[in-house]
Amino acid sequence: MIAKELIARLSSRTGMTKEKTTRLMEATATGLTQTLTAGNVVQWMNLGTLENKERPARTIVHPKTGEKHVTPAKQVITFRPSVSLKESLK
Amino acid sequence: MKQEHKISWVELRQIVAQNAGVSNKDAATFLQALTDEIIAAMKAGDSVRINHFGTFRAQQVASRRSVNVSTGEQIELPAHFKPVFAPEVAVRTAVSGQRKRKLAEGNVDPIQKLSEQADEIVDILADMGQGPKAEEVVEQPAPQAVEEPQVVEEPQAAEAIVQSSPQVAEPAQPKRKPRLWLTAGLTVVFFLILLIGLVFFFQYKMEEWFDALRAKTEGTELVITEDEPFDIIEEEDTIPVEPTVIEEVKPTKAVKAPVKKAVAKPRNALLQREYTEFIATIRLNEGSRLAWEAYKYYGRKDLWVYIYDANRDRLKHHSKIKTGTTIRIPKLTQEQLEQITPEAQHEVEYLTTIIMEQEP
Repeated sequence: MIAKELIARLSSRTGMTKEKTTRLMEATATGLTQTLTAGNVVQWMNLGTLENKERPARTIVHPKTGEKHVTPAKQVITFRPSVSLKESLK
Repeated sequence: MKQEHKISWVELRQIVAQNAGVSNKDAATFLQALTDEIIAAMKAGDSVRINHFGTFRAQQVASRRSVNVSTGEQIELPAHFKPVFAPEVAVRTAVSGQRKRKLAEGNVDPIQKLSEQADEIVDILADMGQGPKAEEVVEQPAPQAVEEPQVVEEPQAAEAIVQSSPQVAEPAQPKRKPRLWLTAGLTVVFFLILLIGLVFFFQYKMEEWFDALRAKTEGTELVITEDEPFDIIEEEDTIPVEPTVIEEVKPTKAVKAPVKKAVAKPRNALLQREYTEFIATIRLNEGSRLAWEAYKYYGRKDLWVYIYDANRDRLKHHSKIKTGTTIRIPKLTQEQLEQITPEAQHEVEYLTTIIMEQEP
């Protein structure tokens, strides 16, 4: 589902104008990005948890040459779906 | 990461409302609708993309075999969908950039901490009414330092702190101290190395002297048993080239007299020796010995005299062979190689004698 479609659906669902929905979408995206970048955990009701986690450094093996490299540790966003969502998808 | 905490649904609603400039209620309805849409799309196997944030979608997981850990019986995990989220590249880089910032902060932290601590100590001391200056703080003994007793007890620790905290501006005196220590330590190490070197050098020298002495005594023994062949030359492989001069000159002189009598006749013939056939051409390396080459090519070390004799134009002196010189190994007759006949033995002895007589 592309953004345009999503906004159309959402505006019909909530009864808001498309402009307002677009603004809300942007606000949601920036708000989530900012909170996650600050290192916070977002608990999204019914959907799951978005978390800013550290992925520790690890050695990886180049599949072709067999060389070993160390990938440095980095911060990643992880999504842990809620149990209800997982069950409903099964 | 300082203010890390969980953003609840209510807080998320507030953030969104604030960002969009709408009421909390509107934001709540919108978020609820968004959540419902996402879940519905996932159930339909579709993906939902939130621009500038990421994509939620349902990912298919193939069925796989597994083992029930407690019973050991094989079970098959059925295929299913699992919800996944893929953040957009911009978000990913923003998050990893946050890590870089964090690391940079972490690097600065300890120094800042130390300087802060130093500031605190200064403040405390100032509060105590004595009003000492920053320079005196570190040098003053125990009673005043409440927070950090280590700082005052150990001058080295104090200096470390002072060095890392530029706020506590220290004059030259304490800064000079570690340098003094450093120079003193370096000089001590230098003299130690010198001493060790001297010890080793003298040990080596002593060995040399002892060798020379031993050679002398052996030489005198040789005088008594005149007919003995050149044992000393065979020892050559254990002794470097230069010392051989000292050792070998004496024994040969001792044996010289009888040899001369025996080989008096063919002297001219021996001097006009010509080498026409060569079995090898070699380059002298560091540590090469003529005796050793002789042993390699002829099987006898004492036949090195032939090699030297054949290369007189290239080797100036038998004990001063130069690395990098190319020499040729002459071919010897069977008689010369075996050294059974007295003629052959005399030949070698005579050659050795005249080579050894050569001025260095």
